[in-house]
Amino acid sequence: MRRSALLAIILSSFVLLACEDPISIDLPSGSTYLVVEGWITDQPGPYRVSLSQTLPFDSPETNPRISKAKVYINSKGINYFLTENPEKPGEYLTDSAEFVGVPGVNYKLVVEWEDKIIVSNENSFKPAPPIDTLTYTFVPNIFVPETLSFTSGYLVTGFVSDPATENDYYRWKVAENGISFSGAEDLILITDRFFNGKKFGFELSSLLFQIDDTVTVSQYTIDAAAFEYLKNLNTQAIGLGKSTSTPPSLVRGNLKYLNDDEGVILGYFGMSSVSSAQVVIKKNQ
Amino acid sequence: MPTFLRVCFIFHICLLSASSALVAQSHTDVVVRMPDGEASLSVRQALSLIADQTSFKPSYVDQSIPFDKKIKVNGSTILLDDLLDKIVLAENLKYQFEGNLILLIAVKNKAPLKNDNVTMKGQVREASTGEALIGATIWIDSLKTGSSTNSYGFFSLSLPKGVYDVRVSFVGYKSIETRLTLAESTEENFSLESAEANLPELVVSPKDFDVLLTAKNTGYHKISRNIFGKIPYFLSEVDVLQGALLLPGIRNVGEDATGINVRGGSADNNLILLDEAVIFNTSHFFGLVGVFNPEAINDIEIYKGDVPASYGGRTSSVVSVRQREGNKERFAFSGGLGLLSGRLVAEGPLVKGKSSFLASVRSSLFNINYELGDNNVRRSTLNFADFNMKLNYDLNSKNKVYLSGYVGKDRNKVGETFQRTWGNSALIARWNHIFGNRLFSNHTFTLSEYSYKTEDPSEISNFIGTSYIFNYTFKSDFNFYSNPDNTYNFGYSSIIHRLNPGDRIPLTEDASVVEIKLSSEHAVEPALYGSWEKKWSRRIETVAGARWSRFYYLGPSNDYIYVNGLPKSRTSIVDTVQYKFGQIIDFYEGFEPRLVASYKLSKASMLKASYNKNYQYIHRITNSISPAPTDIWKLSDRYIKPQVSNQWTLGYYRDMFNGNLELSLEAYFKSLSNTIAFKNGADLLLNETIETEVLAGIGRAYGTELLVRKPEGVLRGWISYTLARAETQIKGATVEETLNDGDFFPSDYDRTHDVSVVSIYDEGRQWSFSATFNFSTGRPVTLPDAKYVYDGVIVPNFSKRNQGRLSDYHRLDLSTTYVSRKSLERKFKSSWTFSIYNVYARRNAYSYLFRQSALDPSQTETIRYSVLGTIIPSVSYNFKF
Repeated sequence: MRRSALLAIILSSFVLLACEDPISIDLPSGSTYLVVEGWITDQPGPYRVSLSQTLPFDSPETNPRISKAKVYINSKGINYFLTENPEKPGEYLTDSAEFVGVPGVNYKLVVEWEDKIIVSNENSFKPAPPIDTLTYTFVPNIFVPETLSFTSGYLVTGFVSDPATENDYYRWKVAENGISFSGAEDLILITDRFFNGKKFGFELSSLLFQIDDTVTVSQYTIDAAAFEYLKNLNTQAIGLGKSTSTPPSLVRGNLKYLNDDEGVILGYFGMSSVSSAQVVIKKNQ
Repeated sequence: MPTFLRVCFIFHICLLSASSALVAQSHTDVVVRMPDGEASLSVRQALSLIADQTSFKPSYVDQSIPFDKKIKVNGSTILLDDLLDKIVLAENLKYQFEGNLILLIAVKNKAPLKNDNVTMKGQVREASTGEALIGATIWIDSLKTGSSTNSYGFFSLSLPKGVYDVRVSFVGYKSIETRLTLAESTEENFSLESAEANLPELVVSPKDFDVLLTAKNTGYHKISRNIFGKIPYFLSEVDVLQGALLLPGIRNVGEDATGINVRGGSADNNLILLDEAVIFNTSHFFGLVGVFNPEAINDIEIYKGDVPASYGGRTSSVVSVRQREGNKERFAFSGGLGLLSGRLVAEGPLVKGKSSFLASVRSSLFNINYELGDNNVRRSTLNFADFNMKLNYDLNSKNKVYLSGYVGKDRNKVGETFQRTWGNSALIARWNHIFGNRLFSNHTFTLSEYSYKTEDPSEISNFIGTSYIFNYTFKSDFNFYSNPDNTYNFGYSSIIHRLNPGDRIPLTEDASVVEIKLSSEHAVEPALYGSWEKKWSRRIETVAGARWSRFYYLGPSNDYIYVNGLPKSRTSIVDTVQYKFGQIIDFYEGFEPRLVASYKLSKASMLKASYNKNYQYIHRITNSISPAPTDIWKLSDRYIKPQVSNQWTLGYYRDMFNGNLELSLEAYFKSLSNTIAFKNGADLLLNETIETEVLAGIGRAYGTELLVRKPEGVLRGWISYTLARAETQIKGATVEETLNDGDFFPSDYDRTHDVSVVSIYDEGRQWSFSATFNFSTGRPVTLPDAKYVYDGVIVPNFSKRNQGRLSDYHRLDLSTTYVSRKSLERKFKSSWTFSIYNVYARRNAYSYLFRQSALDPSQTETIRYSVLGTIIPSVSYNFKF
């Protein structure tokens, strides 16, 4: 074991030649775009819709928030108005007593701001199949190139029975001892393309857990457009620049200015139902 | 010769007084005996033999007789008439019998009659191994004409009967000069000795009439073994294609990028051939090691300007890599060990002088750990291996057959179960046949394959995925050497394409994965071609040719029909048309003219202009700027039109300092149509409707390239400089199908400046040295024009592609090779090569990353990502016996 470890270090050394260091370059400061982020589920509210504006990439400031907009969700001819959170300008909340997302019902977001009207595509969401089980396996001797050391831990796999319908998409959110992983690298997107209608297992291959960790996996059903949006968003945030990467691009969501197809609104108004499962890692399972 | 002169004088007097009175003697059966053991003699000796042995006496005036001319005689005797024929052959002389006198009379200059032409043909080989030398020149200075050997070492020259000083030369070899009498069509074979065989005193051969000024093509480079084996490489792993990056107009995307970009084209625009078989993926180990085992390679030819009519099917260039034939004289072994891989080559005669073989293997020595940026905690390892083979057999002087092959594999394992394997394989069978003296033919059958396989037998995945491309090619190529002024090349080729773009099949019935099978693709691509090389005068030469290619996209297949006027997407399919096996679904054809005209300005300088059109019917589907092993290929179909390029090149070439320096300066303009790009966020994995993700564009590339080369000597090398631009325009019917508002923008392969300096210092002693330096403008990159927050993540926003640039790229590499003193004398030769890659440890940017700061997640940072951003020393050991 010692010897192979040493060999691994030697042979990995040139992999470590790849290096990353911060630099400063001149970046273009393009136009300012409106950004809309909103998501409703079948879980109790309130749901949040945030309005903000873009900044030049190298700006040290936080993105300006947009207050005093008229924001509502339209469903079956009824407008459910959101009210701005007095503590967080630019964040608009639904009335949880009045509004809860229901699978199969169509929803549309409308924002009226200054003299413009912004609408999302009208959409509905599917009910979420449950996560049947969560299992874990022990992985010894994982080489960590950054520190030239070895570690070990548990990898968690979730199993789901996918419904017979095609084009089911899932987003998983993982929490360790109640704290969610929320970085771009923790965005887990699953398509049923390769196991439609079957029971499938999905390994959380980037997360390593230790004994006594409580692992919670929440499964969000999403549609093809949301899947594509989140996948592209994730690519822009962390997946660019390596030799196998795709070219960077503008990520268009499902929002647009009323009567203007060319104008760009960033962000996405999404909806999903949620199911979740939990497991505590124990020795010798 | 006082006696001789006296004789002449006396007989002249006799002639004047009483010639007609003499009784005529018959001269037809008179025989002259050769001196013992002599096969040739001078005219002087011949005349003296005639005078001594016969009753006839030659009569002449000294000035008109070529006394020192050599005459070849087969056998121990020769008829007097034949001997006289040989004496006057190609001289301004005639003879006539007057009684017992032979009058040798000077005649006025007479042009040699056309039908007096004879053919000299043969092969030029390397003396020690018997291997054919490709591109060796045969030069006749008195006629200022010559020829060079073709891809199989053959040449044919049609000349007036006569006596010629023939010079045979090849870079890196000692030239031969010999005087030949051509009275009839003959076969002359030449063997050249390597200049290095005479170490330590390196022989610098006199510069011959020069490859530079006789190469028929514009934008042509040849890299021979004595160059690509001598320059420094990353980890001392000789990579013949990476060496080509030091030539003008040839770049790649970055340090671990596969493939080369020639004059602004993408990597799939190059036709890369190994012994005429297409190689689809040119590197192992994700771009760090080339697939061509350097020990098995003879040379590389690159056509980046004018592509000969016999080649076609790609819009940028043809890179033809030829394997060595193997030593015909004796068994030899060579090999080496580096930090990454080990190599071994065996070669030798199968039937001495007639047949030889070469076999080589190369393999990575360890499981190499690597990290490719994916967030998998499981260990990922990689290894690779390849095998080359070549056999040849000289059936007789008119027929020669070859069989060669290549198999290469890479294996990438992630964790215990997940495994990916990929690689090329090729099989080539060839038959050279010579009809008569002047018609040379070559018939080739090749089979090329590239396949990619993913396997995961673990419980949760349990599938096997494959994709492959097969290419069967038959080609018949003819060269007709009509006379020194006219050569004709023509032929036919046919390619059968068979592609499986991908499938994913469960390993067991109860596996959790479903079966996915994309429909396979089939096509036939026949082509007819011909070209005519014509010397109009000493100064003007042209090569005019054309290629007529056709492409039949065949069933079985399902064609999707989309709503008119909407962007193609899965939801806009309105109909599916099914085609049966062999049914023609789509058809394209291309007429591809080629023209090169050259004008010799002086003995040492030349102008050339060329025009070239090429069609490409097969496209690599990749969404990254550098090819990946997982990439699939796609044939032209209803939606994806053939790519077309038109290229104009103008060149000036000059020999300086008596050929010690060569200069070439070329300017080119290239227009491209139906270039392929992909929609933002395109999904290419196992996609049944690839056309929904593809965007069509046009491109243009132009630039100038300067190359100053010192081809020979103790210090040799070159300096190259390229000033170029490559642009793309993608203007679709809708916003989704348009990039950068439909304006031209710099393509991924645009490099404004590119400078390379290569120098090799080799005295033929124990130590030799080499250094290469490269500078180029950074690659275009897309910079973010804004940022925003979504789902707690800071996201950079990119509006327009390729509006920024990476910082300039530059790098110095050094290497030195040590040969032990014993090695210089003994048969077992070994050497150590020490290389330093990136000597001054420059962190060249491979790309910029724009992301959330690791230290303060509320902030953003720009990161310079370098693949080989530090100094990398390496060592390798090589041997040969």
